[in-house]
Amino acid sequence: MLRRIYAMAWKESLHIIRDFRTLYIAFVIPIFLILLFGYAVNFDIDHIQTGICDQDRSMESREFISRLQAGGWFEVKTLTSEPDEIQKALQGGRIRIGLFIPSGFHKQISRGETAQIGAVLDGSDSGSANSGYNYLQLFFNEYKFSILRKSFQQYGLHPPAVPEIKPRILFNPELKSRYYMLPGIIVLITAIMSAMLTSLTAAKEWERGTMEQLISTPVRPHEIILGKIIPYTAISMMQSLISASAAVWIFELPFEGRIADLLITNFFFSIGALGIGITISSVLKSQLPAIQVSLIASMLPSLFFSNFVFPIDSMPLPLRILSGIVPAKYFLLMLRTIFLKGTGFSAYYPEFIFLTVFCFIILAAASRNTPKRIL
Amino acid sequence: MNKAVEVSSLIKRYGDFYAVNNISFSVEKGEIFGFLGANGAGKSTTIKILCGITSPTSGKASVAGFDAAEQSGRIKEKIGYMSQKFTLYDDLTVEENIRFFAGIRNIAGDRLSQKMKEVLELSELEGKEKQITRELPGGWKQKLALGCSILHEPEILFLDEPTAGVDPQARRVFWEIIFSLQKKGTTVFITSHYMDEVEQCSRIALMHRGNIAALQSPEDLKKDIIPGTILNLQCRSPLTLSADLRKISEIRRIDPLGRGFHIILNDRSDETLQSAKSKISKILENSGIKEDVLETVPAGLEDVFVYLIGSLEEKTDAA
Repeated sequence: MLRRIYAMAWKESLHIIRDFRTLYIAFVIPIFLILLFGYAVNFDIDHIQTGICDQDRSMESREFISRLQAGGWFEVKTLTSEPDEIQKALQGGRIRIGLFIPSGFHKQISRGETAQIGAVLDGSDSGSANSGYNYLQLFFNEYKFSILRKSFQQYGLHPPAVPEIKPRILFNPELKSRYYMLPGIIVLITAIMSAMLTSLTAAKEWERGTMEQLISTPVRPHEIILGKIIPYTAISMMQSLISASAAVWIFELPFEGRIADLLITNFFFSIGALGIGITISSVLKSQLPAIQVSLIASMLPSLFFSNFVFPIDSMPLPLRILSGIVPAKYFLLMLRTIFLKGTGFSAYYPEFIFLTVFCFIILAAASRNTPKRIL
Repeated sequence: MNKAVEVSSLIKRYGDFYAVNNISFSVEKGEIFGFLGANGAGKSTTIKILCGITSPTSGKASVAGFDAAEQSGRIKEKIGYMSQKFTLYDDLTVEENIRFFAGIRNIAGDRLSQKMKEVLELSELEGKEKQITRELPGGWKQKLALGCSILHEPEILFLDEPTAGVDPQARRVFWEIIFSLQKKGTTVFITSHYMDEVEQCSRIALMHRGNIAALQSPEDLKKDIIPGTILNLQCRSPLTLSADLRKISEIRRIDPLGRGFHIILNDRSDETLQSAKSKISKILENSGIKEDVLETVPAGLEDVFVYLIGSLEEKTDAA
């Protein structure tokens, strides 16, 4: 039995080496994807394009503007005294936020009256508007407090002490969304590429007629499946390692855990993903439909039900239950733990057990769908 | 256990279509057994059932003493199978293909190197071990495929149209291999379109629409099946004559062949022959065509095949 599995694995490796398409799917596409995702996927919104209509033109208003710019959250694109220009810039999409400083602003401040600054936000891009609004609140708290401090000092008084919240954020102190996203990207790439790689193998044998030849020999279905999976497991793991290295070295993703933990979780997730591809390939028996179905079957669950982008906790109950059988969800949880927390195996062993069980189930399914006979 | 293959009342049905319709036959050990028939006659299906690749709908088939429906695993160890499709891996080299099929058959070590040498010698591919199989000419591919299917020295070798599309020279070599296997005691079960090939078999089963229409040695088939004398008529523009020839009462069938006809008479008596001959000459004279050849010929396998299928078709048409 071992010799037959070995013969299958050896033969499959030769196919891989001789077919540049396989190597292309295996290595070029993942590198391309990690670069693309790494640079493009960034939910941290700063440098919000801002327009300011300054009708006061005083020292106070200029100070306000320079403080606003210094924070790094807002980038002043338009500075004018005409309200119409702000309106136009908002409509043209050149700015997301328009601020209005009315004339008399500095007088109101010096008299100790409540000065008003108007703000208009572009709600068509709700993400930017939301962050912009939050940043404005933060900025104004700080700004108000500085004015207060100044007037107290004018009268030689100490400003009153106010309680402050001092949060300490663990694992990702700067709350960079990129740190949160990169493990998800590694999961997505591994899932999709693995399934696509194996989706061609069984179908190719059916199309060529070599499957019939294999069926006429004593080789058993599970030997065919295992033999085919072995070389692809090596490729799939290399892929994940390439993605992980790129994430760490190019995008500065912290790596707190152990490489061994990464390898072993990756091993079982890869086999599961490869098994999905080979099962689809065995059922459809034709290369083109097999690669298309594999793409969808591997991408949708790992995109939607893995906590990658969309939090599962806010989904309706049926979808939450459905997500329970998605291996990408468990792998992502483990990867985030390994990369960002560095806590070991004890932190995720239930997820790990699920992954191994899934792995055996999918291999059994693939073997069942590789018939000992044809019709 | 005396027979290599034993089949009784075997049926394979796909929906309403009977690919194999209740056939029974047996194959002796060491025989070269031929399957002759048109495409879709059920030859390949029967072979696939015997090899344990396809399961029968009903009936019994035993191969090398094992039941094809229940013990296909055991059968697969005893047989070799090569189909009309090219079944090697064409992106592997000659040597890699041999190595792979040997691995699947648990052949390794010294036995592997010995078998490797044998197969290369047999298929005349020595010196081409490193060549990618895709680049080999068709005949060599088939020889290599044959070599890969006999690595494990099977008791019974099933060949499904192994020489389709192969040039005559390569076909001759192919048959030399088959004869040498037979000498070593291998039973060979072969299907083919080529009459000259099937003629080499010890017995032939003629399949038609899922049934076995005849099963005899080639000599007996030629002796027994056709009831009348065969006249070979070769002449210029023979097609214009066929309507007139059909009116002659002594003639049973006319089959186009070459630049003329094979005419089968009602019986083998001399009177029938003489009267038919004179009537044919008269028709030729009237139409101003001079015959190149008009002679009696012994029945060939092709005559038998065409006659048998023709009369079976007439029966189905009548019914």
